[in-house]
Amino acid sequence: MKKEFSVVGKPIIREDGFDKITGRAKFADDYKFDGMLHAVMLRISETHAKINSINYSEVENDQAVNSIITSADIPGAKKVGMIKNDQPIFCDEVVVTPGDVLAMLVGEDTTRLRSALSKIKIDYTPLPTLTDPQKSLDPKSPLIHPELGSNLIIHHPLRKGNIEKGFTESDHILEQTYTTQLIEHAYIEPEAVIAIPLGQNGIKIIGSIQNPFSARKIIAAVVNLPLDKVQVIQAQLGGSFGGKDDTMCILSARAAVAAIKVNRPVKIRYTREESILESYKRHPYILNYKVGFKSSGKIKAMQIDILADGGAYCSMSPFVTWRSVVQATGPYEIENVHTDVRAVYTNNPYTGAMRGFGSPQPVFANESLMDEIALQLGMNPVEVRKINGLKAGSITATGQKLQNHDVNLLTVLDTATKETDFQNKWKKYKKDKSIIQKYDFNKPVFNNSQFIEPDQLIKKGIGLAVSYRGCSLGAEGIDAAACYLSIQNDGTIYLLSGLAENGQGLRTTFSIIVAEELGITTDNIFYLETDTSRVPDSGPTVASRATLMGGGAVKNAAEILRTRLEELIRAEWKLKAAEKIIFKNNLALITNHKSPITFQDLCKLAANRGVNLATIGWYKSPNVDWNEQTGQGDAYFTYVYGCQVAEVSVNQGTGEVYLDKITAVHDPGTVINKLGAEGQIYGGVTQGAGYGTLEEVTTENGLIRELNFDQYLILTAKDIGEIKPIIVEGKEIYGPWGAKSLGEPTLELTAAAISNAVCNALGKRFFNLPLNLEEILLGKKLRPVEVKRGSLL
Amino acid sequence: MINFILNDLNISTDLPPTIVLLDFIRKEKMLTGTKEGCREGDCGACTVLLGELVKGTVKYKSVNSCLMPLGDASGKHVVTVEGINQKELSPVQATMVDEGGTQCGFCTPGFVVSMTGYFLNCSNLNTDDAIESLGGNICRCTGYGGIKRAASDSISIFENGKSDNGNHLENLISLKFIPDYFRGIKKRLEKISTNHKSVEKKSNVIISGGTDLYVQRWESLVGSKGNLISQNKKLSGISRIGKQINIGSAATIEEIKTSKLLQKYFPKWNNYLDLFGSLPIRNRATIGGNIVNASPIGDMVNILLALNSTVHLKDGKKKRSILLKNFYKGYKSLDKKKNEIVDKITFLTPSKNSLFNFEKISKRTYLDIASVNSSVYAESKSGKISNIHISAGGVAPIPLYLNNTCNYLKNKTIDTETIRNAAEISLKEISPISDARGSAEYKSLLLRQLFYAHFIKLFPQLVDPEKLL
Ligand SMILES: Cc1cc2nc3c(=O)[nH]c(=O)nc-3n(C[C@H](O)[C@H](O)[C@H](O)COP(=O)(O)OP(=O)(O)OC[C@H]3O[C@@H](n4cnc5c(N)ncnc54)[C@H](O)[C@@H]3O)c2cc1C
Ligand code: FES
Ligand code: FES
Repeated sequence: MKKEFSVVGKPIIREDGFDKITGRAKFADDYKFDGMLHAVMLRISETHAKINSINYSEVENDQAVNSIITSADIPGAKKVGMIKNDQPIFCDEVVVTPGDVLAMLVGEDTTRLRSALSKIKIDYTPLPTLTDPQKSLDPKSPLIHPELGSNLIIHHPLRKGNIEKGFTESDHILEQTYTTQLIEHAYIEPEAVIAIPLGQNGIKIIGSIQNPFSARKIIAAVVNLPLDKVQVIQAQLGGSFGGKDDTMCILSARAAVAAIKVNRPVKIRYTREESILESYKRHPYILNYKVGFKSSGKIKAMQIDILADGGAYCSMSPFVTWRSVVQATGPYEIENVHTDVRAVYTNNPYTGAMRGFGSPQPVFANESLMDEIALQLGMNPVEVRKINGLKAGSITATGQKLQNHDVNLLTVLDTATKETDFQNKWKKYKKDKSIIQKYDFNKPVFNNSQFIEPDQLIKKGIGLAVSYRGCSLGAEGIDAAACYLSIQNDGTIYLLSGLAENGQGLRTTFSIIVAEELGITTDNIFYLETDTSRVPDSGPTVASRATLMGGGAVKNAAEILRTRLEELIRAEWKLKAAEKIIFKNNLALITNHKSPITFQDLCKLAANRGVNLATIGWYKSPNVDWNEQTGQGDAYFTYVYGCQVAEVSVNQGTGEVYLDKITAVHDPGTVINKLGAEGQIYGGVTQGAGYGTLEEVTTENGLIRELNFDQYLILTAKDIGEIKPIIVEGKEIYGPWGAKSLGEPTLELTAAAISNAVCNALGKRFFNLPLNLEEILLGKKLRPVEVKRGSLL
Repeated sequence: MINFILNDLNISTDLPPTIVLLDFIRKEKMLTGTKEGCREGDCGACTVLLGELVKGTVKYKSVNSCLMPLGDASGKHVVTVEGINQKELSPVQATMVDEGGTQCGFCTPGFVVSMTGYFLNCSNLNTDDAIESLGGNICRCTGYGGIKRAASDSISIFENGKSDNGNHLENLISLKFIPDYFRGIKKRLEKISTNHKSVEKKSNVIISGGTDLYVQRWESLVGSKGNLISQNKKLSGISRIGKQINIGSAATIEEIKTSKLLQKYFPKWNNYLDLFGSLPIRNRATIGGNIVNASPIGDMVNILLALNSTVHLKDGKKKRSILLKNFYKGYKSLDKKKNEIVDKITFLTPSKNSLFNFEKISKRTYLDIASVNSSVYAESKSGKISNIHISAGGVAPIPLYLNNTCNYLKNKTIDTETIRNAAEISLKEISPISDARGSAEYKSLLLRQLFYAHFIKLFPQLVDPEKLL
């Protein structure tokens, strides 16, 4: 039976909505302190170079320059990293990618500091560059980090069953290669951080920091202070999507080094160009799939080889690619699987965590592949997915048996296809002939039979994609989260989680959990600012783990305090064990008792009786296990399922793709924050649609062309059509009331669904993301030379 | 001294008129609700409203404060999100929160300002136009779902709450869309306007809307003596004198887009210019800037080329005129002396038997520079062309007038064969370069496609699409 909720799942508006809508919310760049200085970065426009010497003599006496900060000023670790310490704070020996920073100038006026930068003389020797990940493991290629002896960052193998046998038993074999592009997080707020020296008390950092605890660890190592002397406060974060982690740790460390040296607050604030230049991005993948299947549609074997371009630094590559190896087959039960996922170093911009985290790439590949199988067998996309899709008790590619939750893959698939009348539309659009099928790539002009009236050039298409996604960190790391909860004498509440608000609405979600548990409303809950000195380390706010893990900790804390209140009531009114207490509508209701007691009075009473109403809640994930050699094990303790259907119009004359409607059906478990959940779907789908159609960071020998929003295009309100979110709440034994995750699944499917829709329209498959004009029209990506908009005169 | 009103506050500043308004707002006035996301007009986080006295009322428009010189605020009312805030949330703000229109909140003040600007500007409300007015604001978090619903909810609140005999401003004030200090702005502006001295300075750097200049060169402009011309009344206005249309060089693209005069001659005028930038860009961008910037893919230039326009230049008392198609010498090089400024642009009113069409393809449909654009103007009688002008953008280092193609088509009767030949000629006239907007190969293909589209649209009886080629 389903529990009746009072606050959970109701449309509760954002806890921080008022501050944000009035512009009062303070983002990092909105802070200003007395005596504050600014720092600007010294870089060279080289992809790979040995730095011989840097001559600062011209700026040493410059009025605008208070201080020059170099690696010599670093008291502690000079190289840091999330997993491997391979990234220097200042790259004054060798530059391995154009975003690298050699040193900083600190002063009052950034404009004058920037012009001082050009007076610094840098003597360097360019080194051979490596920008093609396919050449990374070639012994002739330069080593990006010679001390590591190899350009291999990580290799994740997975072996299940007998792949040869699987192919032998197959009636058909299909081999395809897919590629996905480098993309930028494109949070609208560029990076900003302020370091404030506190003398004996260490240092305080306020910044646009996604994970205050990771930042604290790295800053402490760099400035050589114990953790308790480094206080990290998260300012309102203007979007992150996984992107304000490594970069912000390093920026914070640089600001801290400078602040300690000049003994004044120091701010670093990036321009959009610097942000795109230096921050890490989503991994481009090259994905080779070989699949064997029966004429019945049953897949017998899948062999997958994936190469991820990690760029110049390791960052989160091992974890990102680990998720890929777990999910690479897609949500299908396949007996024989043989997967290799490798991440390699190159001189390209480095890549790391980004919403989706190693899943949008394989989802694009395996969901394109499923449609190919269907077409080859004369089936429709729904049938082939039903035949192979995961069900309760299915064994995944990693050998894990799916249990303890509703395996709702086919439910979301059915819901989405019924909602959109998928099969009828798919058949109809497929029949309408398209001119692009007959298109000759070598002669990019239309012949007479190909030319038709511009309006008739528009063709409609429909496509779908499904996925499953492991929740939280899985076997990537220890998974636990904390929360601080304190009820005041008047019944108002302080709440603080160790996980961070990144704009996703986590504060609201957590407030709802407390309100539900204590039977109160959310407006009496005050959410404290995220501060590493106030709450235990709860790991990173990644992997859509906030609701599941952080929410679990919040529920635990609320349960502890509710139990104490219950005990108080029992003692005070000498209740019998059989008598029940219910917390609801700001009241504690006692069975057989005439008058309920208000929550406020109860808290007052607790204060008078000396009951402790503050606690730390804790949630630790159930155990998972993993065998590195075979890629077998219970990778995640639970999974979520989603299906998206894209309906598009394609202009065959110009290659323009119009996104008419996207229907997104997701099972995130129980929905706690309804408005937040729908917001995640709208946002995730729009990002995914951008990934599918427009977004791309291209490089010319490692140098990025799209450094601002004039060329790095994300969808505007006018470019995205209707989005229809549908939520199916599956049962789950873990998480607060069975709530799981939603943030990332919403994004990973959209590009694949769009690509399948465009294929339905044009009868032609596309193997390379994004499906931009040239890809659609010419079937290949053509790399432009750089031209920036604006006046040169 | 630059005098203006910032929200409810009278401002007098002697800071250089060339610094951007955004820096004044954030750094000098510490009004941090206005955000900086790109500093080049592409994100809208810095959007503010600019109120100006026009014929006795205050007209508001949204602008990107990151590209606007402070000097152009002179005599105006600048409104940031702080100037919209009241004790309680305005309907725009409240519906944005209720509908989930804000997540991280960084883009949010920009959206609030743009949407409030829509209500200030327009009494004939509908959701599509409201969304159109948000075309210059991008959001990475919300996917715009909540924002679009907020727009439509706010419209309902206004429609249900307005009093029919009240004027628009009073309705907005009584429904709390804007604070009541807006009521007194008109009187205050009248005082300031009469007091304010022109901030123009003699200088070689002519700054009009600044939407091109500040994108590339804001740092070098700061503190320089720019000649701010966008407020110069002598350079403004759109009029018809006899058979000639005159457009002042400082006329903005939005003024040109909404000009009743031009809409009369070109029925689809409004649709063409919908594809130009975003509303806040169009509110600042000028025709003179578009011409002098000499971008090969300028949209206004492209249209003006096909109207065979004349550019009128002046340098003090010295004046001269030159056909626009002869104005461009090479990549970003013009037949213009340093001290010459563009005074106005003129072209003949389209004749009765004329047809016009404009086509633009860009990577992103809205708020994007063209990959390729093209315009055609043709006078014909029963299919015989007596006069024709065709332009093509993005296919050469300059905005191109297709001379040979036009010559070929003159005095020909339109049929499929002729158009096929003409397209071949056009492809020989162009020299596309690969740039950020597309490869050369792709651009040739697009131009051909647009070329056909022109004639199929304009002469549907004479050109058989099936037989073309
Ligand atoms: C986000 C964004 C989107 C855009 N989208 C488009 C688009 O879709 N299509 C398009 O065509 N353009 C677009 N542009 C470019 C720009 O808006 C236009 O070129 C605009 O017309 C320039 O006008 P301005 O008044 O702002 O020029 P300014 O930046 O003020 O000046 C540009 C150049 O012209 C000179 N100049 C200006 N006026 C005169 C004059 N009267 N006499 C002599 N010299 C003068 C200036 O000195 C300068 O060199 C966009 C720009 C931005 C930032
Ligand atoms: S800061 Fe992005 S438009 Fe002005
Ligand atoms: S709410 Fe984050 S960018 Fe719009």
